[in-house]
Amino acid sequence: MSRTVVELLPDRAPHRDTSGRARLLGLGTARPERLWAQSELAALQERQWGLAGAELARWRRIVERSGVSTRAIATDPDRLMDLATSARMTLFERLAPPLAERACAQALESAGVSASRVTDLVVVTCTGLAAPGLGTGLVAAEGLGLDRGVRQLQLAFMGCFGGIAALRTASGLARGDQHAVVLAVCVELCSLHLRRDLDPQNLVASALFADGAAAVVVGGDRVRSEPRSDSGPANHTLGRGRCLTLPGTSAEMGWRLTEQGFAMTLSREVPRAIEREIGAFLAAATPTPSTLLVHPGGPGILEAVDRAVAETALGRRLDRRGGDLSREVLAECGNMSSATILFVLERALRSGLAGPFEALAFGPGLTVDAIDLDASRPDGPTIRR
Amino acid sequence: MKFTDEAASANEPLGDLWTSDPSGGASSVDVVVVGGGPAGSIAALGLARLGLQVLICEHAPPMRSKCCGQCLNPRVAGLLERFGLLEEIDALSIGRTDRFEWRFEWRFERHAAKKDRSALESAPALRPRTVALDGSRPGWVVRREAFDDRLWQAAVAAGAVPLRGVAAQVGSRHGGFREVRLDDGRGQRHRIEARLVVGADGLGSGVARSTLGADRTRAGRKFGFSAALRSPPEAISRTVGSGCIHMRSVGGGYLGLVRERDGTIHLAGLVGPEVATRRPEKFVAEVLGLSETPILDRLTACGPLPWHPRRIAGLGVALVGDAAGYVEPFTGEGMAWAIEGAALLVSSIERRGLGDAGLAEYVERHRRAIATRQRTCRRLAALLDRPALVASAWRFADRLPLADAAAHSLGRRVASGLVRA
Repeated sequence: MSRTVVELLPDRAPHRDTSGRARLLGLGTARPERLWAQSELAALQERQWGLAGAELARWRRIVERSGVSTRAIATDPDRLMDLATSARMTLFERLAPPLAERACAQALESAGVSASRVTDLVVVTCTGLAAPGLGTGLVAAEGLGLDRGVRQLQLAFMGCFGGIAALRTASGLARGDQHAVVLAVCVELCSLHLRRDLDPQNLVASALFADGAAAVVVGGDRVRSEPRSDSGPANHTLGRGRCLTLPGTSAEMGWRLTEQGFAMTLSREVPRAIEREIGAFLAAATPTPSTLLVHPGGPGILEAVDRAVAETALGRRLDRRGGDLSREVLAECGNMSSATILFVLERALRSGLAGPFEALAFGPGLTVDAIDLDASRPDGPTIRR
Repeated sequence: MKFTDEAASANEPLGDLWTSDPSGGASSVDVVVVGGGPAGSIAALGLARLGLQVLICEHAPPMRSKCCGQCLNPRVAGLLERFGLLEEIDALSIGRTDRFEWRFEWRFERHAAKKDRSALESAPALRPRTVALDGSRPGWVVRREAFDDRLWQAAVAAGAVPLRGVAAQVGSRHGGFREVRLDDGRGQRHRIEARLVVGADGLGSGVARSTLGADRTRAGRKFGFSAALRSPPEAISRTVGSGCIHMRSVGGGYLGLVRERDGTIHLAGLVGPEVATRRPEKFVAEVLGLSETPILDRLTACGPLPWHPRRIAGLGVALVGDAAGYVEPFTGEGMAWAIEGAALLVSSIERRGLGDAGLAEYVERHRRAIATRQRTCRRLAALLDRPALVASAWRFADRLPLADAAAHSLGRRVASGLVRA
């Protein structure tokens, strides 16, 4: 559309961020108590599916390559396979809130912020749907002590990048309101959706996914917090976040409702599509990250990101330990969908890796979602020459 | 704001700048240059070479299109040579100019004299006047993005600390230092102090307005725009030969055209408030007599013009380039003024220091060198606002050979005042 000369004039004030800062004050994670060795769980699944011959060999190959060694799941896998979706949702309503509550309590404690000071609650999940939802349950939970005036928001059914969406939503809320204390929690019970389906895509998903919850506390500039001395996250500044929907890839990954649970579709093209596009996306990151924290969707995705940045200027300055952490989380916890990236972030902060961090996750779309975290800068800059 | 990988790494010093100072002391520098266009870059380059600690900040990403005629006056060749940039600018130029052609055409007068349209429309077209820029070096046609980028790189190479994507706001002055608040556009804001702030932030300069003040009595209501005609109509391509700065005037404004090496016609216009609320495509079609509305690329605008600060230096602030005052965007003048002004500032500071004495000398030398030339342009602009008068002089000259010689000589003087002065 053509415009008049006056409409073409540049803005008098350059576009700049006049909003406040969002600081990551606390982070907490929780997993169901029952921890399974990958081999043990795989054997159980194998029996339930009644695998034999080539199918069994394929399943064992998938398990071997999954990069997962232990997984925690909240459900009893023996009874799941044939449950109707409605029964699975009932289980979700019973099992998800306590897990979410534990993660929230831990995040608040690490932030040194009492639950009553939380102004906004963001709930993220893609594995269960019900209303009144998780948020309402958390507000009502006596053990947590949230104020009944808390402003609620639920980000539902996004997929694995929901963890980044939680961070950038919390960041946006805190930047817009300098007094905001945002509690954002991701809770996923992926094990609820184990299905009697021998399609390779379902087998791959069944070998990777696990249950877990993670929560963050993000505060505006004016929020005072007294973090525990050993907690890492205090005073990391969160950026705005960036998203990219990859062209022509909408069929490559899906998450849809069926009569027996939610079904994952996951094509072999996913790592290739990510490898193709992620280099340019990461090169545009500001500030230039020192450590990449990648959602360990599966070993193929981690390798694809590694390959994409290997020969770039960015790749040369990256701390390789970021990738090790992703693999470590995948091995110990499996893919807990949206919560996973927060597990990676927790380990990165605790192990004292150098920022700025760029945390990224992938999901249906294909969508890449990323946010940067930077150790906050002191008020007085100095010049070193 | 989106940066390329390269741009992000060009910002490395930002990391250093915002590293915590263990002693907790406030940080200060000699000079903060606000704005990374030609004036800012040349000032930063020159001042850094004097051994001063210079920060240069630019809020916009690199290679940004700007409203510009893309012609560089040959008058600055000597200065470019002194800064060691002549060969490179020569190499990156996409055309040379050695003639100046000025054309009034009959139909344009409709804007000026609407009341007697029928009589005007039947009148014959006027012969264009061409003035050769003899005896001097030819000027250059440069892609503005490339030119700015080259000067920025030169400033960085000279030791100025570059802050790309960082906006600066100038605060109050205490104990000989100006406070400057830096904002990286991502929520990070910091304060530093500078002995001198160089305002090179263009028309309507924020530095000027927050320190020395704007001169509202001389504020105008004209607007500039520039654009490229990538596949110019045959008639235009033929008229605007290479090597020629071609100008066309109308009552509502005027248009300067120049040909780039690949045949693209770059045009820059100045229009009054009436035309500014219309689409530039329409104006271009009308001025060039095109039957179809042309497709304009690289369309950018600036204004309002003229713009003048109340003073150009003092109180720990010096303005250079368009920030120091801008009258009319005659092709080739803007960038030359920017370079000359910045060079004057550098040499004044070299002679008399960063304090008041240096600034006073800059004010005086700027007045002598640049203000005089701006006055010539202002007079010419006044003339261009009265196309009927000029056209009748032209027409008169068409009939009488003697008057023609006189008109030609007048045109030559005016044009050389413009392009050589």
